[in-house]
Amino acid sequence: MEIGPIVRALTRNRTRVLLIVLQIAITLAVVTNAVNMIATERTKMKQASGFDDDNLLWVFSRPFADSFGDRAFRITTTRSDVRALRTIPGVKSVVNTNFIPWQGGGSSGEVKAAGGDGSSYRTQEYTASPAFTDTLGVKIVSGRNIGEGDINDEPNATTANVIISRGLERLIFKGQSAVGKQFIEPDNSVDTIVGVFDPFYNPYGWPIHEYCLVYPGTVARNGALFLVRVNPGAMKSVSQAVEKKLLSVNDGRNFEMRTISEVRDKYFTEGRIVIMAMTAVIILIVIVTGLGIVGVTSFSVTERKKQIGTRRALGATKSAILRYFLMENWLITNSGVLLGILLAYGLNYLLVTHTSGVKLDWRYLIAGVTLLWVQGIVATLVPAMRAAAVSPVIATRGV
Amino acid sequence: MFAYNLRIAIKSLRRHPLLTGVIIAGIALGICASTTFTTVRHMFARDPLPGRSSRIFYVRMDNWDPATPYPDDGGGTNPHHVPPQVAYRDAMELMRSNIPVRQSVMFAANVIVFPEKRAARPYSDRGRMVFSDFFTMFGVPFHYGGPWDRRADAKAEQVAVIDDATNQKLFGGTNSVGKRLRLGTRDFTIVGVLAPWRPFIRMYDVTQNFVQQPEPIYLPFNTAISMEIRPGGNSDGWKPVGPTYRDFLASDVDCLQFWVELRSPTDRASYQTFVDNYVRQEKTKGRFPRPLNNQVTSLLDLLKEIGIVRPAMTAMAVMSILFLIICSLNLTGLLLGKFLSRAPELSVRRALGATRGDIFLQHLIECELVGVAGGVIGMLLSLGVLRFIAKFITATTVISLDPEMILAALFLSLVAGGIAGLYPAWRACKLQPAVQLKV
Amino acid sequence: MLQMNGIKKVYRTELVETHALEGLSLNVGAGEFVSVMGPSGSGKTTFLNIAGLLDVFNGGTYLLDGKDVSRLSDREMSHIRNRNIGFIFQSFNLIPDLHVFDNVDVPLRYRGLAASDRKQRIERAVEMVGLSSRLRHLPSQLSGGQQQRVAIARVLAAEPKLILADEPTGNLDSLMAREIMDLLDDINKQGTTIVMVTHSPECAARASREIHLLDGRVVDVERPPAILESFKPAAQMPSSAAR
Ligand SMILES: Nc1ncnc2c1ncn2[C@@H]1O[C@H](COP(=O)(O)OP(=O)(O)O)[C@@H](O)[C@H]1O
Ligand SMILES: [Mg+2]
Repeated sequence: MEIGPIVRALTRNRTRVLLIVLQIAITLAVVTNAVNMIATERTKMKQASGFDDDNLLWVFSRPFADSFGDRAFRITTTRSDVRALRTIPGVKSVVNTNFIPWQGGGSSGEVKAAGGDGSSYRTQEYTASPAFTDTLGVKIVSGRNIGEGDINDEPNATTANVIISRGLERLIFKGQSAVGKQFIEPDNSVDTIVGVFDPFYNPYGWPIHEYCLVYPGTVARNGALFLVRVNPGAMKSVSQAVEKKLLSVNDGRNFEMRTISEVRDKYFTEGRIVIMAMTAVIILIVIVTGLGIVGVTSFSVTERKKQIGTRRALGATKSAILRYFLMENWLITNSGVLLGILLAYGLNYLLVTHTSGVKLDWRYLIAGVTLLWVQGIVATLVPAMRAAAVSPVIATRGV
Repeated sequence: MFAYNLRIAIKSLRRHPLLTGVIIAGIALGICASTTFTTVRHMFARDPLPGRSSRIFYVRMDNWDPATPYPDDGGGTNPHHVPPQVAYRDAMELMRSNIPVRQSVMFAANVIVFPEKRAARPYSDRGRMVFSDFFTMFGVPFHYGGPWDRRADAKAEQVAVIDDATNQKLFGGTNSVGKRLRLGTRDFTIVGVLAPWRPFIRMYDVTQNFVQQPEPIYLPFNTAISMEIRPGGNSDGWKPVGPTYRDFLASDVDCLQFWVELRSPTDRASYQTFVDNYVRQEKTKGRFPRPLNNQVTSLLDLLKEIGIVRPAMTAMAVMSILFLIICSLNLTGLLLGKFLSRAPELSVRRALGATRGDIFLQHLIECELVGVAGGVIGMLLSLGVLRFIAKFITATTVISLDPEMILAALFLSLVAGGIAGLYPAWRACKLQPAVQLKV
Repeated sequence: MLQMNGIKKVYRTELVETHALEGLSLNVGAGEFVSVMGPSGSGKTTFLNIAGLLDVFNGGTYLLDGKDVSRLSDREMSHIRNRNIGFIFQSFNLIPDLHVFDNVDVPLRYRGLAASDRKQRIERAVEMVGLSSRLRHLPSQLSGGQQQRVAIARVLAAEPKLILADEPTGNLDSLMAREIMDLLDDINKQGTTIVMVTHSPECAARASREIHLLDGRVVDVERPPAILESFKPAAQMPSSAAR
């Protein structure tokens, strides 16, 4: 088509063209980086815990009755609680543990392999009843699970049978089996590893997300913590029944409950805000820029009515006029896109260096360019069709 | 003349309602987005204690393992990284200094509240164990009564301060100063009731969820220790600790926040020396095995160090401002088209005696009108969006536009309207009267 | 070339119906140079619009080159305008954003000619109107007479069989007008049919026949059609001869 004359005509309307080119360029830069940010957050949110998150309920009992001042009483009540929770219809498994998935933290400590090179490793450490693996929905991959017989609630115990996550096994034993090996704790107590479970992921303030050590025991210090795994679909009925059930064991306390999905959502608050905000920005930007193109093209059609009529008089078909405007817009879009690619990388550089952003994926750039092309065509079509409808008679009329 | 120009501008806007709508909507969206995200960032970035923050300092000491430094956030081993809190025995020694004008060590813990009414169930609530200076240092507002005095701290008296909501719940909002409040196994006397207090950041304890609201119940630190209440927040230790409360008090477990108010840089320097000397002295007893590394950090520096302003907030603010720029470019394009399509009319006006200035003013007024209209609508939208975002961040905090942000948004819309309109208005006023009449 | 019989054109607006042409009948033979005169509002422009297939008519028949054009699609009309008809307008109608070369190029582009062919035609046409030195000038950089000569070059390059001119000298002073009339004369001598609306008796006299319109009707034909038939077929245009 007649690219040469179109380009030469465009250079006579520099401001109008420059405005749209800039707008398209910034749009491309913002849209691609916004998509990049969304994708980054999505990747983070895709991280699986390896647990049956959707069917887990966290229950916390806060006692106020004086009787809870006695440790032995707390332990027996906690055990009764577990038994009571298990009887609720729809409950698959219950564990008494101080571990709460997706909290963004937990507890940790350092261990040394007995007979190893003496180096210490930081790992997450939790106490739990044997139902830990069943309730989270993770598997013992080697050795055995901890059992009721391993539980020793004596505070000054110096030995324990423990299970660890496969991540921790790999970290410390470098490909060898951990089963049967021992850890020395900072207080010189000795843990014997009886089994290894997998998977495990719990985000922590330090990068020890996949390392976990589980002591068999009862968690009943200031209150008792439980994770309840329900059958799919039973979350609502179970959570309604929990409080009544536990009050029937002992009513000297209050309860807090949260589904692990809620905890997880809270953990990803920032990501969710970023995703929502950037999605909104993308949609709005496409609308605003689109309307801008419609507006500016409309004006330029109005302004050029006479010359459109002349072209029609000189033999241009309607589709030729349509094509003229689409081509003109495509050229403008492409100039914007070229500048936009530079801007996109520039903006990305700033985001990476100043806001811990992630490097721009070139595929989003291609998607962005395609989006702008489609947007350009759609936005130009309406005014371009108006241009094609201009009657050639205009040419002979004064105005 | 101004009134006449205003009238022409309004008439012009009303003649093309659709176009005017699109233009205003564009500006409104731009202002809404940029105001919203800069506000979110601003809420975290602003000084939580204006006027006082430069005098408030957070104290940390490196009492960690000689073998490895306290892990930094990357899990790496930055040798200058210190544990974020202090241990009880050190806090007690530091509290002896009289260099600070005010000081308080503190911790958070749950307490069990037994309402007077027999029918009401006891419940557990968040409490904070502080020294009386805490209330003044952090500008805590009182509705009834006030802080307990320093003597109550020294004698570990059973006095309490409760917040507005708790006072509503337990005493129906009446002045409860002097009333009894049963907490756990003991009876406390209420000495103060807080006025509603919603700091955006719980600046006095940033070691955990800092967007959480302040605690409902405040007790003297020493009283809490005498009740053997254990700190509820994060705690860090590297040495084994015995099971009893006594063991805990004597341990190196870092679980308390330590704040001092220092009058001047000189005081600050002498306080740093005081802390360093204390640690040197403890080193002779075999404690503090790591190199001397004590930090007396001002509140604002601490917030910066913790990274209260999340990188994502800055990124979103940048993106939203670029969006505003796009909206302004859009506005320029539309106004330029609009003004130039009116060229014949303008030529007639010019021919009939309108000066360049008149034409320029007429068009600039038109731009500012849409700018301000868009700005106001955008700000209202922004209020709604902020409320929505606040729900995400925390259920209790309200993010809203403070006067600073409202002024900024209005200014921004004026600037956006002005900058976007300047060129089109200039082009319009440059039109020659003759050229357009010829044809 | 052009046979109109009882052509009617009605403009309907909200308030009134204007009968711009009321049964206009007219024959123009190949190679003729006809001038159309008449008071303002008599329907001259309307007649040209219909003759040039710019506008549709409401009644009567119109044969262009022996072909009934009342039922053509927009596309076919565009093609005929592009290949067979050339327009010269009172206000020149050059495209302001394009320089002389590109302006003359416009109809050729729509014809889809090869670049070398177009270049040759444009350069020859611009040379014929004596503006070879102004190829890269914008319309705004030319005088009225020069602009009209560019418009004529645009027609020449397209080599139409029929040229329709609407007051081509209306915006020009008499000296420039004469230049334009000389050009049209030359073109007509090469065999191209010209129908020209004009207010100037002087210009009208240059034509071989004058037609007068009044209220949408032909009122007076200066010379009887018989004379027309005795006209010798005009010489071929140079480019046609070359083919
Ligand atoms: N688009 C139109 N709508 C309504 N009336 C028209 C239109 N164009 C021309 N007319 C009317 O048709 C009549 C003939 O107009 P025109 O052919 O332009 O006259 P001339 O060119 O001879 O001055 C006039 O009365 C004019 O007002
Ligand atoms: Mg006319």
